[in-house]
Amino acid sequence: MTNSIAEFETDSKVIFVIGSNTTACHPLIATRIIRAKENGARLIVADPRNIQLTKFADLSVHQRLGTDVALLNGMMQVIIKNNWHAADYVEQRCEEFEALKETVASYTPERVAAITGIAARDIEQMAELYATNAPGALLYAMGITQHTTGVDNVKSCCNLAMLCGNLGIPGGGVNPLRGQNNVQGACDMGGLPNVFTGYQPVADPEVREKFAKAWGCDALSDTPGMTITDMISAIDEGKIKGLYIIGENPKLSDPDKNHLDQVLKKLDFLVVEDIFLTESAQVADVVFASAALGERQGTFTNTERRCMLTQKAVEPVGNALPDWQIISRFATALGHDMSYGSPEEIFNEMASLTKSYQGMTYDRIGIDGLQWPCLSTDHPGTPYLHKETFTRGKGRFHAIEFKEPAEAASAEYPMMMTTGRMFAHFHTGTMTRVSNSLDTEQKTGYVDINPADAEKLNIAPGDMVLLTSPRGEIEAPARLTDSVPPKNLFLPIHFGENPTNTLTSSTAFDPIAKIPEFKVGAVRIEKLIA
Amino acid sequence: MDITRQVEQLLKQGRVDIFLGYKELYGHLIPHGYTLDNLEELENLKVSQHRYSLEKVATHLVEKKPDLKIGIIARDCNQRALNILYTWNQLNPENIETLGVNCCPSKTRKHGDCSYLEPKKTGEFKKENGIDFNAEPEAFMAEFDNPERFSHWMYEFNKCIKCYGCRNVCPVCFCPECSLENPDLVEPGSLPPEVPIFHLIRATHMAGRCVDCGLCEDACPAEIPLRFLYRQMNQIVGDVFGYAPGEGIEKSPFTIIGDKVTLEPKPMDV
Repeated sequence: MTNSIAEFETDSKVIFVIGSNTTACHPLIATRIIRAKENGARLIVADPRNIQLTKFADLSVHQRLGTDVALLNGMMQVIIKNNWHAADYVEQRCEEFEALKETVASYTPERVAAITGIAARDIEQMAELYATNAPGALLYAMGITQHTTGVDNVKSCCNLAMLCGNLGIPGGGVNPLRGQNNVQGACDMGGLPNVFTGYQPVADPEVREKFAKAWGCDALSDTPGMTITDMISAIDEGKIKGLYIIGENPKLSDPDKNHLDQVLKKLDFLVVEDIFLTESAQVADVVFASAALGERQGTFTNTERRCMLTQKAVEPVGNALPDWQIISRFATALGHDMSYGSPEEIFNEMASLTKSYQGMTYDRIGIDGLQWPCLSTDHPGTPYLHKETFTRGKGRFHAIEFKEPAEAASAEYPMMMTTGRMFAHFHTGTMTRVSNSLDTEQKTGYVDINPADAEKLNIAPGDMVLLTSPRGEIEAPARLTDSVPPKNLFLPIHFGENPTNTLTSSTAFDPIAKIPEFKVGAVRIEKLIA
Repeated sequence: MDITRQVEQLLKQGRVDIFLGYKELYGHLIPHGYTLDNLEELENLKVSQHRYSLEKVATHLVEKKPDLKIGIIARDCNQRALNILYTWNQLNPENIETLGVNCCPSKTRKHGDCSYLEPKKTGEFKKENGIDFNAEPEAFMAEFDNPERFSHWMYEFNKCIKCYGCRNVCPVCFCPECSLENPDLVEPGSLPPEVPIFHLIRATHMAGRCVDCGLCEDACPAEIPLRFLYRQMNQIVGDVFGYAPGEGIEKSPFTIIGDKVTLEPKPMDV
């Protein structure tokens, strides 16, 4: 997030939520949104589904799956046409505005209405609400990113925010709601193929030299590693023989499960490190049991760049160890003597090599945490980014054309499917499906279907249905709900016995970020006769 | 004698095995149990506006060790909740020692030290569509007719994210099986939960139990005016049975199964 969670409540005059089922997936952020709304902020919600937050919105719209770029371009067309954009800000702080203007000019409300299914009048109103109530915060989640056009979608969100001068001010911003408590922290620690800590590129010779010196080695590779999407293909092609997975459950979180299962069998050796025996761990050659939250000390960095300390309360169960100890022992067994005395020692090493963290220490982090960048030991941390200038200097507009998602409905697969989380479970269920309370709330997977479609197919609530895509088929009980529009289905991703990722495609992914298009797929639904 | 020395004495004299209070950690107060094994920690014992249902922690401890003698920092609301827990046999008063601290102004205390001294503020949109935290029930009833009141409550209930925070923090929620999790009563698996039944089930269960501590409303991330709801509920209990939950440890009019009712029912105004 460029901005802070608290600012939604204290500073934002308008909040625009797109592609985020916030009450279900980020409930504490939803609290801020609802409080802001009750205190007078305006709320716009754009989501293909009729989510809970729409009940409180000044305006809520349901875009056809995968049409976000068209919607955002349409809003910008209206804003520029009416001169609602922040002209001075654009002039002083941004570049390539003319290219953007030219591209979005053809996205008239009428054309966008035809693409997205949203009424032209609503597009005009959304544009006016967002542009004329600064500061405006834009919030998004996986509904924006999990597309073949994920990068385009994000850039379009940034275009809109910059156009209205909403970056670099409290209560504004482009705010991706991170899907896990430490996604930001994992990225910050260099858990990406192309960077060291704090987004320092491996391609930069000075950066490599700095890390080589600190780690006492001769040279570090200048070649970015692979994304997980690339790794699966590489295993398939025999280029990767061994895989070491930490805290991830690809057998449920990666697309095209049938294909993935075949590919994983080609591995000579699979190691899985996790707190529970996940679907992926069950097929591993070796499982390392790692200590869970409360069994080890460490830091998390959350969606608002806030680094927070978590303390050990109890000893790890059985022979489980904190991840840092497992990795140190593993590295040592491989011949590199890696030894640390504590997570704090690792944190200090990371902070000494990472500008955005260099002012942080365990003592300073305390309970409330510190938001990066935190440049010195008396720096208070940074609630919002890009205050005076953007990281690259001027904020660059990207002129982006709308592209259709990879799959469209056909005679064979007439329904459009989207996937996501439901409120009672988390991701592949590794941590939540072992909870009795959460099991009481939701025991199995399901498929949400509009009552009108259900009636046509003679499907009653709870009936088992067969869902088929070009990749495979799964069975699940039907739930009838108006939250999905006709011809659309929603499937939760948490349930290994109804693995939604059997249906999703591994060949439809964003060309840059390599993120699979989990949010759009074509399927067929049939009632199973008991 | 300051509270730290009083707690020390209770522990050293063996009058309590554990004392439930608060501990300061990085400027935040969190619930903490003090025992003879960690006497040195007593220096961190603090009292402030922060509140928690320590008596609920006590019920969990007693589930494991029924004879445990427990000391508790108690404001008036904690004391009222303890009375309910004694009435319903969840705690044995002989095993509980309380140390009273400053509290909301009430009949018994003039000085106050509680988060309720600063009333919650209600935004205009909420006042218009939902319910003002500080509304007078009589005024609310007079201002709106039945369908309007229903619509205002439904606005509030529709915000619910089913976190169960109201139930989990409630000092007088102790049923081993919770009706809110019974699929025959509330359809599981959806947000908001089935409304208004989810909230009305909890409201009826608060009849004769709720001590108006307000922790549920503090805990609610959806800003639902639960205190208002449960006060209205117990207004009826007061009118019908003349019973005020937590004021004493007499039998509740709701402990009727296999018991003789000790309070005369009064006719309800129609």
